[in-house]
Amino acid sequence: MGAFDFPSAPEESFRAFLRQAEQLEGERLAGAIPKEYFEPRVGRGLAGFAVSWLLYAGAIVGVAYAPSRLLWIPLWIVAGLGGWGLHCIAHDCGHGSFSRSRRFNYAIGHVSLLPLIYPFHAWRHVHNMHHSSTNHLEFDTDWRPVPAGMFERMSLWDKTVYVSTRTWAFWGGTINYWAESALRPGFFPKASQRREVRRSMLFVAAVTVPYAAVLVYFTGFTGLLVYFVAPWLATHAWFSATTLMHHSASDIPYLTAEYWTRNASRLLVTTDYVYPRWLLFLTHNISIHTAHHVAPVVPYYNLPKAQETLKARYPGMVRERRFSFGQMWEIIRHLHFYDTESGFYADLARNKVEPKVAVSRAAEGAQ
Amino acid sequence: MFNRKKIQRPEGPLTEQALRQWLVDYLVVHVEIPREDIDTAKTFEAYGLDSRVAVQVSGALEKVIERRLSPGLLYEYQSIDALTGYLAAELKL
Repeated sequence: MGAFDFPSAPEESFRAFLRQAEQLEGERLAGAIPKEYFEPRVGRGLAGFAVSWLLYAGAIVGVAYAPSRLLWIPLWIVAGLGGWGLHCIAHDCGHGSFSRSRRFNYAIGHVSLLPLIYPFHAWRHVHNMHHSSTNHLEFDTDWRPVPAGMFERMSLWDKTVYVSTRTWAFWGGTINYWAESALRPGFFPKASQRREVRRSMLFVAAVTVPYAAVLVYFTGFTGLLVYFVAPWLATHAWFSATTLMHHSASDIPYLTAEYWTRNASRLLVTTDYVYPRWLLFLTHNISIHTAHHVAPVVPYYNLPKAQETLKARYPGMVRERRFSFGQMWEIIRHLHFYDTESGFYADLARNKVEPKVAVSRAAEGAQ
Repeated sequence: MFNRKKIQRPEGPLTEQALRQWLVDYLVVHVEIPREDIDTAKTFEAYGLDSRVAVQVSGALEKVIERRLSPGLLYEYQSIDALTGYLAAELKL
């Protein structure tokens, strides 16, 4: 159900994307992944949960005992990695792949999102919206670029937030989404969703308010900033950087209702950044993301195998790239608006950004 | 600023007429347009709706139809009649 009628002047790169999308029509993508990969192993999930809590708490204890304040920043980044890992555990819980028990998944999910002060059901419903509309120009909830013409009609505050979070303050992008939907049941169209969100908010308040009070009592407001707010910001920085890079690239379009298809949204609009093994372990394979979009119920520890089967079944369609800060810089430097002519991106000066096909990891290896 | 006046969701099955009536009521209560001045064929812009109110209208409307709406909807369908006609077709009312 869309209102936009773009792109107005599509070029070859847009048509090439549509041709690829057409090839996937009628395919049951998840069928490429063997059934046994869908089976959760609760012990493995709990191990990930424990590792991330230890990392988060350990880094905060490290801040308390650090011999020099210079160590605080790296320790906050580590705490953020712990908090981000916990988000990735909650992510499995939200998709029902942590265990077969919905109640247990919800319990672990609620506890895992505490460092982010994110009510689990609010996060779950927003995340489901992202999955059901990935790279939909009107309905995606994550990092959706707006046409410059629409930006012009936004309020000054909304414009400031939009431009900042797509440029220098990209690390705060998910804080903006959190502010929009996490503590605001009215964001959700269905009454049943709003009821669940209110319950999750009560849980978050019941834990974080006493925790903050205890922190302030024993360590003062500085303690609250150093032991809670800074790790919270760092967790959001990981959250923002990762999610921004997943679906934003100069050659990956956001699509109007006319061109958006379910299968293309699952297979063709994600870039998987290849992390070193230790980072894959600590982020619970969140960067192996195409297989996740094809079959969200595959538990995180089975994603590498699922991704391999997907690559074999759809050669050349799964986008894997080596992670680089340069890639991230490209995104925040150029990919600012939706270009209504080409269907890809325009920058802040309203200049069209040429879709640049990044070198795939396989091609890099061949060089 | 904290305008909490609530327009009741139409009772019974949703129809094009019920949606039209709901939009009229919304404009009367929230934008404070006298009911006799409302013409369902007139554009929202003619009533002086800014982008913030447009977002509020579409947010409230989402709860009535229990579905998400495109943020561009009120710009594309610029009168009550055009909007309800579009929604009735989409929702097969």
